[in-house]
Amino acid sequence: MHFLMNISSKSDLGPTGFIKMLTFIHDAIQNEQKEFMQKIFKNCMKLLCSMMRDNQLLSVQEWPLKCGGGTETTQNLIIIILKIFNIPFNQQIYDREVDEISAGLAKADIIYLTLNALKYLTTESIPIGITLISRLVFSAESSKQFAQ
Amino acid sequence: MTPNDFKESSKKHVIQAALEVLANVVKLGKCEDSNLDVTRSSSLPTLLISIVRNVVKSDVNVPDLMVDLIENISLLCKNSFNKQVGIEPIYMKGFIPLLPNLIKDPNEQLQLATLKALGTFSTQAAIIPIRMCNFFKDITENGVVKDVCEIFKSTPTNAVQPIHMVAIEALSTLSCPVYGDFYSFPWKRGPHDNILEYTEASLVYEKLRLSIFTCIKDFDFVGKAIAIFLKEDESKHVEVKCSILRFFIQLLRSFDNQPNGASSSKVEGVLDIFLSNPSLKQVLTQAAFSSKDAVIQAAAIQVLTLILRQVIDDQNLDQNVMVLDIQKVYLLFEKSSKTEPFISIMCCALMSEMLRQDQQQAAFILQKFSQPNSLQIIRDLIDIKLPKKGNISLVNGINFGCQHEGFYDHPISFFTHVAEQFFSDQRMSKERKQEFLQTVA
Repeated sequence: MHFLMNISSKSDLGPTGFIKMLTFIHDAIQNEQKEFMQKIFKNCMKLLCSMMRDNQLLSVQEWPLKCGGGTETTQNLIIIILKIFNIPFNQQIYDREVDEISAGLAKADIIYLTLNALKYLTTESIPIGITLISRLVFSAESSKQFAQ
Repeated sequence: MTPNDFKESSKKHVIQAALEVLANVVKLGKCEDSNLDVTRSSSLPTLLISIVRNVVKSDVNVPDLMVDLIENISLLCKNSFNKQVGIEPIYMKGFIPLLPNLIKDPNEQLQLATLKALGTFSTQAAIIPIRMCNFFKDITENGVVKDVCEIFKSTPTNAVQPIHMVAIEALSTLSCPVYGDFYSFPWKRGPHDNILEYTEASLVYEKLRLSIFTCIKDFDFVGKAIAIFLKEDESKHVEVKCSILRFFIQLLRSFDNQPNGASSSKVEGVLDIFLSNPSLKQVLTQAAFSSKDAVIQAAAIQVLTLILRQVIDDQNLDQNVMVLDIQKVYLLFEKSSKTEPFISIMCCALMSEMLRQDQQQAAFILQKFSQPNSLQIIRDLIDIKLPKKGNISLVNGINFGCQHEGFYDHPISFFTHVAEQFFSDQRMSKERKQEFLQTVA
């Protein structure tokens, strides 16, 4: 987590390693590691959201394919982040945290970022983003702000 | 002086003495004001190159003098190199076109001097590879690369000479340069116009690599490279060994026989050639586990990793063609973690592959990495607060400006693979998973 929080242009970590790190985060949260999920959402949510900004996605996209970058890596980056954000809404164990997470995501401009990121995705992957938006809009108590 | 003057030994000796003085001045001299530095004057290389050109055109045979001239031209080029200009046009236009003639000279000392000069020029060019793209294009097109491969091809496995060592060093520098500028990974920054330039220039680098591979794939280049590898006395020098391992790494990367998008070429893969050599595995394992040099160890592990990865991915291959001792790999990982974390980093890559190669190996790795001390080693390896020890480009090269992977990629990927096994293994009890995750936390 410390590594993720301090990621910068000086970090000696390639896109392959970065995606793997996100995969671990996803798997741990998926495997009901509540404490871990809370830490990640508390400390790294903004960073994960910033990874979906155009500037960031374009720089991953232009990074050479043979060095771990390219269109497919950009898609994988978006997909894994969206999947991470989706987990709390799908698993009962995180029910109590959903409201707080929704509020945090709202502050981080998640709807705009998700809709914007859809243009990088293939048709098959778009539902992951739409699912997240629908969960945010329909499932949480604080969803009114999204609906508005 | 005209070339015919050099037929007179007295005149030849005068110019050789002058060249020796010049070489010493360039190597040892100091001048605080660069404007007053006579060694930076363009008239010196212009004069030396014109002498070389005239001798090449004539029928005068003075290889010893030519050696001195070429060495001085190299020195002057190195001396005048700067990142704004790169290799100066006088060398690019005057000297590089002469290389094909010089390298074909029957005199071995002259060939050796030419190879060394080529190595120097390539190293300089790789410092600013995009700006020096024309250099790589020129030497691919003027046939020098083919001639270097011919010298490498002539390596007798039982009587390796310095010229063969320099030839493979030059090939390694051309295909996998080590020193030079490279771009940062794409985090927390916007797109970078230079990366687009790199993508365009990379076609030239790939063409160069392909022309090398095309020239060497029809002879037993692995056997010859191993003979050269074994010839170098590690207690004295390690440059040739490191170059050979880097050359292998680059070949395995560029000519991966898997038809996936990441593969750079559709030509025949290099894996079969590597696997067909009966002594390669022994030489690599010896280098990985017994060498005293960290770069040799790390690079040998990287070669083994790339071979193993391709063996596992190739459905048509018997997985047993490359079986390594997991205990040895783990011990090396553990032993090097404090002294040479760089080697442990590479061991992570190898263990990632071994994890998916065989169930017994996987069980061993999972058993080891369910214990806090092993996880702590990985944690230390990726702890950005601790000083990063080692430079991954010494193993992988700089790929002309965009590195293939980062220092932290391997430990993070390995850790994720281990975690995946814990998460996905249905037989693993919930308590065991919990225990693993608590240790991780």
